Formats: sequence, structure tokens, C-alpha cells
Amino acid sequence: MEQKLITVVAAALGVDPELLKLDSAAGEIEAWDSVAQINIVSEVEEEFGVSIPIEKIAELHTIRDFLLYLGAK
Amino acid sequence: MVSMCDARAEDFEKVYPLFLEFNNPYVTKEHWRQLFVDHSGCQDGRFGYILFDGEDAVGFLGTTFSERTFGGEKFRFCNMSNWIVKNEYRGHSLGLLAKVMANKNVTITNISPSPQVLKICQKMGFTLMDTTERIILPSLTGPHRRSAKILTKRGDVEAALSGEQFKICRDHSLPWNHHALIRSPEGECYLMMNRSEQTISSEQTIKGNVRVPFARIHHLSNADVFAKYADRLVLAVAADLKVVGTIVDERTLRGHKIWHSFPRPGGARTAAFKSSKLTALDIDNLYSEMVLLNY
Repeated sequence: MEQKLITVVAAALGVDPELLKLDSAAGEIEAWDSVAQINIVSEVEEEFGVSIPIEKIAELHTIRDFLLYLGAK
Repeated sequence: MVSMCDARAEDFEKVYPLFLEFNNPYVTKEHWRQLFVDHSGCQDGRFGYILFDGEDAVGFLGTTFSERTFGGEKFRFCNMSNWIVKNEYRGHSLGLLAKVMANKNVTITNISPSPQVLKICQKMGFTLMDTTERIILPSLTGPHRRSAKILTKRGDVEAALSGEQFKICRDHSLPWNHHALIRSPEGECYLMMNRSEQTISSEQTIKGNVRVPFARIHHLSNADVFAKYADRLVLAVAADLKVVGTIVDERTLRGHKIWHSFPRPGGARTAAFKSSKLTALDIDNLYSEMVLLNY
């Protein structure tokens, strides 16, 4: 799941997956702004078949946060 | 340590440096302060949400609450505006939006979003609405029907109003807020507008960007009456406010054609709203940054 998530996030950000780690955060990746965050959420929802509520979206700051969220589902 | 909290009136000075990052030379500190004043009586002491890093404000999203009546039913509005987060804290931006969206049973509007904010709103299920504007120029030709009386003095207008229109007039009493009333055999049309200088870009002039005074209508209560007497209204407003013309949202004209008018150069504009019952036709610029900051 980890590698698939990194691939999905990289595609949404338009960056090389090699540049991303589990602890990569919005503040560190130039392309990861609010619009990109929404794109990531849309892609994650589609790829993993989940629906992430807005209040949760705001708490997902790193790829690991997404992973933990998906793990808890 | 990043934290988020309600913006209270006393927080204005902490947030003000963030407003300077919008880099708008035409919006003064006194304009910005209006975002922290309860004009509608509906704010409950909250004027938005602030992102703090320690004692420093690093992000803000403004909320202006109001209450309006449509079809006999009262609706609560929350207009969000001036969303700004310092670059290094952008990972927390959506937290501010989440706070706004946590307000239940309200119609949320975003009247002047940036393209990025519009994209986010769209993904969050907001409905897009056309806010393309039309410029109406004063002219001595045209029907100029004499059967209506046009009031443009604030005191006269306020004295002639009642109910919700009276409250709207009272709530919009900043120095740059102006009011007019068309009294005709077909009914009345109350208008709330600002006098503001608008930039006409270099593509439209030979002297580069110029600032020209316009009256900008933010609310009109009866499109049919307005359309019929717009020529007289615009002429009266031009003389009273010393403006070259009047700007109105095309949407609020409800399909009416107006003499001596044309779409504002610069292309279409889009705003967004989220409501369970209301449509774009129910939404205007009252109680928004448009009237508070005199955009």
C-alpha cells in the first residue's frame, strides 16, 4: 500500500515518485499547495475507494498521515 | 507550534500584517479593519479563523455572517474572504477552510476568489456562479420615463424603507456605501452601491492603467423596475456621486437588457457558493468584502 500511495501522491503532484518519502510533507514539496492537496485527496479517494471528509483532509499533512488514515479505514 | 483559533475583534492588529501581503494599495488599514466589525449583528464575536505559530499570525480566513429572507424563509449566510497563509505554513491552509465548512445550516459564499481558491471550492462541492459585470453609462437619450421618482440621498432612502431593506441600508453605512431607491407605479427598487475607483487596464486606454470612479451596485431588490428606469437612476447617481458610470453584476439583471450598457472589459468572472436551497440568483454582494473593502 505504501508504494502505491507514494505513486498516487507523486502523480497528483506531478513529481518523480523517487523524490517522495513517507514523511514528505506539504511544506517541503514546492508543488504541494492547497490545490494539490485537494488533487491528492481526489486521487487517493478514487484509487483506494474511500471518502475523506473535509475536516480530515485538513489534518493530512504527510504521506504517512494518508497511510495511517487508510490503515484505520 | 501551529494552532488555529477564532478571529476576535481584538486580533485585528495581529492579522493586519498578513493583509499587507495582498499588496493592494487601494485598500487602507481602515478598510481592512471593517472585516473585524460586526455590521450585521450576526457575527457572534467571530470574524474568521487565524492560524498562529506561537504568537505570530501566519494565516487567516475571514467570515462575514448575515441573515436574509427568501420566500418568507430566513437563511444564514457566511461569506468567506481574504484567505491567506504564509508559504511555509500552506500545509495548514485547508484547516481554515474546514473550520468555515464546519458551520452548518449556512449558505457559504466566496464572492471574489482567486483562481486557486475557486478550484478548491469547486472540489469541495461549491456551485460556480457567473459574476461578469456590465457597465451602464449615463446618457440623456433613451426612454427616461418620468413616472418614477429616484431617491439618492441616504436619509431619504432610509426613511422610505422598511423591514429587511431598511436593515440592509442601516448595516451598510460605511463612508463609501451609497443607497438609492426607485419609486415607480410598477413598484420599488432599492439599490445598495459603493463609489469606488476601478482600474481600466492599459489594453483599453492609450495612457496605460487608469483609475476611474464608478458606482458599483451590490444589491438591487427588483430587477424589473431597475431595468425599466435604469437610465434615470444611472444619470442621477452619476450626478450625485460624481462617477462616470455604474457597474452591475449581469446575473442580477435576470436577463434584462439595459440601454447604453456593455459588458465590462476584462472578461468573465466567476464566484462560488454552497447552499442546500438557494440559487445564484439569490446571492449578491451584501455583507461581503466587496462592500467592506470597497473593491
